[in-house]
Amino acid sequence: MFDFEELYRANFKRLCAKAYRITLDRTAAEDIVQDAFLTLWKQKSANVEFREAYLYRSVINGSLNHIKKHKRLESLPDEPNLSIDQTPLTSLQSKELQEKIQTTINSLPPACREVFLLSRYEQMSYQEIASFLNISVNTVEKHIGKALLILRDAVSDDGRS
Amino acid sequence: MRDESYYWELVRGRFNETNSLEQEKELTEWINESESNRIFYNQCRVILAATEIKEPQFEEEHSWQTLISKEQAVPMHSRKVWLVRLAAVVAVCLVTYLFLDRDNAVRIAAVGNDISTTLPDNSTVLLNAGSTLSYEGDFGDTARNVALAGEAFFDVQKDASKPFIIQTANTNTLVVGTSFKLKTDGDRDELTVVTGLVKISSRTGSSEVFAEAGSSVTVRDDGVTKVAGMNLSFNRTALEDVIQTMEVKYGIDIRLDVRKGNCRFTGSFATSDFNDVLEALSLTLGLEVKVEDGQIVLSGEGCNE
Repeated sequence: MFDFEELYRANFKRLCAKAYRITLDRTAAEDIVQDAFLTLWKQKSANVEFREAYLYRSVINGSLNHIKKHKRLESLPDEPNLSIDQTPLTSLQSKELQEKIQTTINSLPPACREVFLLSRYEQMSYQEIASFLNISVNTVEKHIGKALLILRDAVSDDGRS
Repeated sequence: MRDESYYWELVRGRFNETNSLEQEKELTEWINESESNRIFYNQCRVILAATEIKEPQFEEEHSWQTLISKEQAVPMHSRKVWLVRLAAVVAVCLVTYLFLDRDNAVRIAAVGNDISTTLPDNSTVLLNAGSTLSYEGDFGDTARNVALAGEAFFDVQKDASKPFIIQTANTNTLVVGTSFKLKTDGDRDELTVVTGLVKISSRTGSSEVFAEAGSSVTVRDDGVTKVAGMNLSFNRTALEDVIQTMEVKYGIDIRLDVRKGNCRFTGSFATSDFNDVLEALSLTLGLEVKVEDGQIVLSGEGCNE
């Protein structure tokens, strides 16, 4: 019998952070992570690598499912965390810009939004996104191209004026 | 000309500081190629910076407590196994040699010394110290059921109409008439067959093995089965017979799909791993191993005599 609590303690915050970046909802993120652990616990599965891979996959899938059913939140915590070296922005502008971009991301077509979020927040390569979502690399690239077109349009108004 | 998704990857790599030197160089050169590239780059930087997210504090402890309470609400396999083991330990500690008349049930526990006992059907059991054996006093009409915790050597009387079945926390062992040793040890059972043929299966039903004289089998509580000392040996044996022997030995169905059926196989295996045996067979005879609908299929041209 492996130490379930140890597995939980070692991974809880890391997984919550992942779920939060996709859902922007702290409570939902914690619930998604809790569900993943609960399912794993019931399954009593084989080895450590498998368990962590399982947790990762079910947290990301849970998060993507959550934003399909619920609105992805747009209100961000304060203290905008900008570090733009070549495009100086005031703090006020950046807070507005942050919310505007998150709103734009939320308005992307669902499949396009999923791909963009995995690219931006999970740091997955296109190959990894393709196998995770079971779509072709070509499709992933098209979604990214489309997301960039829309997002760049959103930032071109105030980002570059 | 590469499309924008390619350069998004490079900008993202620079932002996260994961780019290689070559990628950094490529990106810089590309930015300097044209004004529109520079604008693209700056816009991507703005998107990346503006989508940075500061994470809130997550309630690790509260969530853990909720998790525990949810887990306890659902009875789980591991919990049951643990309780069975605890029960076995308690039983061993309690008595040395105890007959329980209630419901005609008999429980024999050996503490400190090995115990030899004869069962109602004249089968004999040598029960090792620290082990318990229990059964219904007259065995019933259809089968001879006994339950074992610990280690025992069985010499079972032949009675084809009433199979002899030994239950442990992990396995069911079915015998007709044979002698063998069965040891249950925490999460694993070990069976060593001396004479005859014994079928052992995990309680979950996930694996089932026929063990012949001279072989030993280990069954873990997660269903993983290991067979040792099989002494598989063939001398110009027809492939069909080899497959049949393997099916019996490992309790696994194998389908043979060859065009010309004259293959013969000579060789013996020191290894007893099913996959090793299968691989040797397929390499020697040029067969392909596939799994179709959960069944192993050996296919190929086959052999001319």
